[in-house]
Amino acid sequence: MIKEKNLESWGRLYKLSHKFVEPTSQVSITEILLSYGKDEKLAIGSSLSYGDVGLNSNGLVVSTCNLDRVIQADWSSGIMRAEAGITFDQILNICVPRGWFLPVVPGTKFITLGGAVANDVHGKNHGVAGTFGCHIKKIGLAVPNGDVLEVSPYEKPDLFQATIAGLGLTGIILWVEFSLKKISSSLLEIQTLRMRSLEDYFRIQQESIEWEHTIAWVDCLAKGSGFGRGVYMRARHLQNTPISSHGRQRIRVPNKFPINLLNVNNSKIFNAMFWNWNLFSTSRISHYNKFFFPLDSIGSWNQLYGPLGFYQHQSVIPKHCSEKGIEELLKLTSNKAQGSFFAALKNFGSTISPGLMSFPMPGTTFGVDIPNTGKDSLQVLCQLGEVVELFGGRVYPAKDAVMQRSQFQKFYPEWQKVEKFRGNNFNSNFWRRVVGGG
Amino acid sequence: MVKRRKVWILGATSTIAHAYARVVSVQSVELLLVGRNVSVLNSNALDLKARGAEVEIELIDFVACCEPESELKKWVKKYGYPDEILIAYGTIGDHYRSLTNPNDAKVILDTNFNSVVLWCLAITECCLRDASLNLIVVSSVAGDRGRGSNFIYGSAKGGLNIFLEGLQHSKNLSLLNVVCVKPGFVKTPMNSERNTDGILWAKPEQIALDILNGTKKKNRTIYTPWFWWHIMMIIKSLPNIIFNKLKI
Repeated sequence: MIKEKNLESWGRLYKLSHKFVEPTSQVSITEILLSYGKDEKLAIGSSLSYGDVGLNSNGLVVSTCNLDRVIQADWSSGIMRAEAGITFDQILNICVPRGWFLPVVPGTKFITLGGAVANDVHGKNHGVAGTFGCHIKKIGLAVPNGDVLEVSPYEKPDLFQATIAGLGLTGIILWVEFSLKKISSSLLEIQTLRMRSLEDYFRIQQESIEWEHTIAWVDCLAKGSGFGRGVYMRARHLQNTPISSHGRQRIRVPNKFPINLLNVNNSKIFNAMFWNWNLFSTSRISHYNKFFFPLDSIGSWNQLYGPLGFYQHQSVIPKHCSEKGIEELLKLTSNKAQGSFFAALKNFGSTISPGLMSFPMPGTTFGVDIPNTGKDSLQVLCQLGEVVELFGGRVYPAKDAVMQRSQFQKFYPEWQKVEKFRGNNFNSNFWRRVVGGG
Repeated sequence: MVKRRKVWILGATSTIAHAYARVVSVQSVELLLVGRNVSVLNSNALDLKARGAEVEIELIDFVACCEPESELKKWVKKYGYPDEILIAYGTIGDHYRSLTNPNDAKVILDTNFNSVVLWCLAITECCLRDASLNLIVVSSVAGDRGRGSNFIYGSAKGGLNIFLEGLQHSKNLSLLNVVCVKPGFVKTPMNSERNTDGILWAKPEQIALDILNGTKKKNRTIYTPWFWWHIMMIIKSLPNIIFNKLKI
């Protein structure tokens, strides 16, 4: 049953009315593909993408959230097959007590499995594990004629590669078979180290080879002697301790939070406090939930940016010019005073994803939230994109709201292969913006 | 070896029922899923097996079945006596069509009241033995007071509430723990046509957890989420002169 529903991106920049349908089974999805052949469709999951990759206001949106069953799980080999609407939160609650973990997790566990594939998510361990797409064995994909194809590196490999990081444009992902990672503890050993400058970040990164997970908070608003300061965090799973999965989210920011609590002035204060709070290097033991998903403890934290919402810029600068490129990006945010408390640096290793439009490349990725203040914030975002383009990097579609057509097509030259599979059957506001048509 | 609890779920394709089955699967359980849609039952069974439950399936149309006792006796013989039975099937129907079409009204009343009562009575005949049995029945807040927008469904659930009260009160059935669950607005396919984004709308997972916790505490009536007890207390207390002015 189609109904009208307002959908909002995670950045809350777009609140658009959509034709919306919530099927309850895989069979219902194939029926929808046949019954609504003329509409351009887009499958969505948890709607946690910051920009417009998860919006399709000119077509029909198919929610996969009711398709959240496990189909099969082999607890001796760690292979799971599950429907696309299951969240990482649900998967972890099932597999952690059995001694398994997801091989790659992004900053939130509330994404769906289908969304993880469509955006080919990465985590704090890209140097070791690559993206989520590197761990996929097979995908069950519903295509426009109602067929369900099994695609893998060996069966229809071109469609498999177009679907990973394919932004939902090659079909509707019904299920995914993937491998899990064996663990013997739900705890991690975590070290935090002070970074007085960007040089410190790159030095510590080189010294952190034995740590699987690494990330650095960086003060994107600091100037002068404080420029590039931050806190570097590195972590690895412990061995052989009792295992427990995570609890439920207990706090939620109310809808329509009226002010931007994370404005630049407050952010400068938070940044200074956080920097001073981490005066000394520390070592501690922590549950995986706190390290991997710190923001998940506050439901709807995006509301804290107030009614105007916020942008996220995430880009990667290639390894050979990372230091210079990241410095230029940080100069923009600090000189223009556009940014917030949430800014981070991560390392990308050399593992290449099978996804044709996968975001990571060997180098350093910089992610920053920029509150929407109208023209000023938009201008800085465009300038950040130009710096990325200059240094031969690329911007992450899952976070983007401003990429120009020429930039996208330069960042992702394989887009044309995805476009061939898309036909006129699937589309999104993002794709219309960066490719056109529809 | 830990003895597995036997939990039967009548209406196992319902979203609330599947959410409850998932919640109990983390304990050591043998589940019997009963319903009429074999493909959904099979999908649900696979999901629950992956979560650690042992699962069997039986196919039945509860409303069409004329001899619930004979079916229950077959299942008891096959699977043993249950420790817990959850009855979760129902239909909200189309209220406004039912006002002028008696057949539609009959479907709502038969599914939500007549059939559930007959199955409950059959359970008291066939499924009780020396140990206690939890009988959990999903009713609704709609049964607390008749409202213009859904009183046919509401009256079926209201009648069911009184029946369950009587079962609880019955001195002959002291081994039967009857739990009446009254969910408010729940995001399920049954409500897919409505706008389910508001603050009063709960997910099936929330309802399932409330059923689990309430049953453990031996609550007789579970309003879920908790605030519906307060809302319905106000609704029930309103004098007609005020209540009749409300467009609900």
